[in-house]
Amino acid sequence: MSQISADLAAARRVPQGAPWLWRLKRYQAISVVVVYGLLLAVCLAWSFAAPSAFAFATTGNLAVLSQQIPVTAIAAIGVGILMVTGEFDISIAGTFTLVAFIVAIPFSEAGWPLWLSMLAGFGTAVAIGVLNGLITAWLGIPSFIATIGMMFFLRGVIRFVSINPQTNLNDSRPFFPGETFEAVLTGHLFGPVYAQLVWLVVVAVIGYLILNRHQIGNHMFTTGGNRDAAIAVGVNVRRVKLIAFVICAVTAGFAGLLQATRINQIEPSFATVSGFELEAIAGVVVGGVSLYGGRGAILGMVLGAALIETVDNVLVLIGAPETIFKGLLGAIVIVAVILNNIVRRRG
Amino acid sequence: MVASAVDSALRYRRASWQSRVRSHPAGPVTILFVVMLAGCIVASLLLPEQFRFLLPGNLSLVLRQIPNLGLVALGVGILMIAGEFDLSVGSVFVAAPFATAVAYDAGVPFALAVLIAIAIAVVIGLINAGITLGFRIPSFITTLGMLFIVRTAAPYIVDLYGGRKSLPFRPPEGFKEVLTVDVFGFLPAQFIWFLLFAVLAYLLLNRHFLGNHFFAAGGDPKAAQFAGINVNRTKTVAFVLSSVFATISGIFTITRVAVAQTNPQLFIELYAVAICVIGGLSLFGGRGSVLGIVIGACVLQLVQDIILLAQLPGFYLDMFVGLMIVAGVVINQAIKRKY
Repeated sequence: MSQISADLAAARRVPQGAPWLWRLKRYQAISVVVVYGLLLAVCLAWSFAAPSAFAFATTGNLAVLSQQIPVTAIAAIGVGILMVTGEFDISIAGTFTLVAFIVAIPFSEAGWPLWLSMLAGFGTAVAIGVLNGLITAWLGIPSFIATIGMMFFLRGVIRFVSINPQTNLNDSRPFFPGETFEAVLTGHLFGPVYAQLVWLVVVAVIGYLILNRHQIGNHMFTTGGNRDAAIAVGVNVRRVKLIAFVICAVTAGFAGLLQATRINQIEPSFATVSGFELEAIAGVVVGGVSLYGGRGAILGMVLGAALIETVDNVLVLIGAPETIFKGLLGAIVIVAVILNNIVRRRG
Repeated sequence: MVASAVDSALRYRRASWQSRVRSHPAGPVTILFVVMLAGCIVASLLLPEQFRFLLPGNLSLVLRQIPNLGLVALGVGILMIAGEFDLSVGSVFVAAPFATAVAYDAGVPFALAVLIAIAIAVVIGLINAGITLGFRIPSFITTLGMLFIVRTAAPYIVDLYGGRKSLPFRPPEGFKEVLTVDVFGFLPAQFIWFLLFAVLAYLLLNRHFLGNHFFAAGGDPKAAQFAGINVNRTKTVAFVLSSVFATISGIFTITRVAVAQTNPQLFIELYAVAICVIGGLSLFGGRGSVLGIVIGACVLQLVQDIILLAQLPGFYLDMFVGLMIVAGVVINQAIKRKY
């Protein structure tokens, strides 16, 4: 008995030395903080050394980054929370596009008030999330197959709703939601900072509160980390996964709305050719979230997505061909998963 | 003695044919296919003007298209039975045959040019297997990454060769003849080749020890390991087969259309997975049949043809594929639980 309590005490004891350093080392997003910090430092140094060749630290370029990062990062937060519960969502590019269409078409063509069409859009996102959750958790299908099915299905729906009555083709649609709305969602604040960045912070804080300060977050980590144990202690695993699927779909829809509002246009082909789902998964995996569930931090997801977008930006700046980004993305995903695995086995 | 043997043999009566159809992995899809085909034939007889299904031109078009995805699905299916996924086939299908076209255009002997494509496929399969099995990461992540890597790398390698995005491919007449001629004027040779490859796959899966190992490695890797099967080597062979089948399908395609392209966005990989799932293969490995893959490919192409003939909008195909993937897995699971 005393032996056991001594062991427990030993296990609880923080090792000698600075406790903050020990905690920092155990922090799940620490590697991406370091890597992204280094990347930024190199980019800034290079940009100051050769401003004409590498225009990274200009207001214009930073403004581009502050508009692009939030779209991916917000979707990545949803994908990351879902991945913590041990599931994937491959259908987010479809959700991203469809929600924007469902908001835009009734608003611009049927004269609905904006709040009503937004309700319809986010209602659609919730419905997609619930369906994904039901199919995965209740029917016991691996989520990446269930959501591939959903991806195909959404692709069909998008091709249906995006038909332009005038031309009878799947054209891109304009989206002009009005100045106030645009200012709130994507307005210019100061310097290179746009409103999207504020929205990213808002979503990240909400994500943090859900994942780390609410009971449901605890349940998510348990569900993804050890499903049987979660069931044994009375966690409703299916409900937790369903909620995570809904969160993922809603963040993807919100990201789609941000993008549509910024560029005032919705592109139906985004659902098929963007590789957005891979971008989000790559960001999340780079951010230290375990592919098997049970491990992850919001900051890691955000910084991982930021890292992916920064790499894209750097490639554009140095004039690399457009397509190389996706190949690099594939390599980044594989390497990040391998590294995560090694870290997990050590820790 | 003899009497008791007869007794015990009699006790194990053969299952009725109904329950055998139901418990066979390809049972449900076969029923679906027969019903759909019968429906098409009836509709075509009743409305010969509107629904021209039975015209020889339409039938040979369908038969010509089935092997495209069907051949890829054969490889993906064998790998799925061994318990892994391969999404990189979508790029291999495009990139490896393109290498053949480039090599042949540069004056390499034809047989060698084809071998180059096969060699590329083998290497990609080995890399997939190495990363997946060596680092123990899920194969769908490895091969998703590989899909994008190959897709990106291929055009750059082509850039070294004058940066052409597409290349005319004119193989020796005999080769094209053997691969794509219409037998009896309506039966495309591709379809016969597809059936031949399917028979080969059947022999491998059901009449060769390797097939046994595929089923064992996919069904219960630990038990397979204990039974002395080298699971990693078995899966590696399956990864290589998957790449090679995709390449063969790609070579058929560039021979038929006489042009090789690097344009990659065909989603072959997803359709191949869809065919396997529709065909009754278990996503978790260890269960499936070649018959299911062949009929799954036929069903997919039949639906595409129906949509075309009935002049329905194209998005129905996407929706159908999406629904069939989910429905297929649900039905497979239900059957597996029952038997």
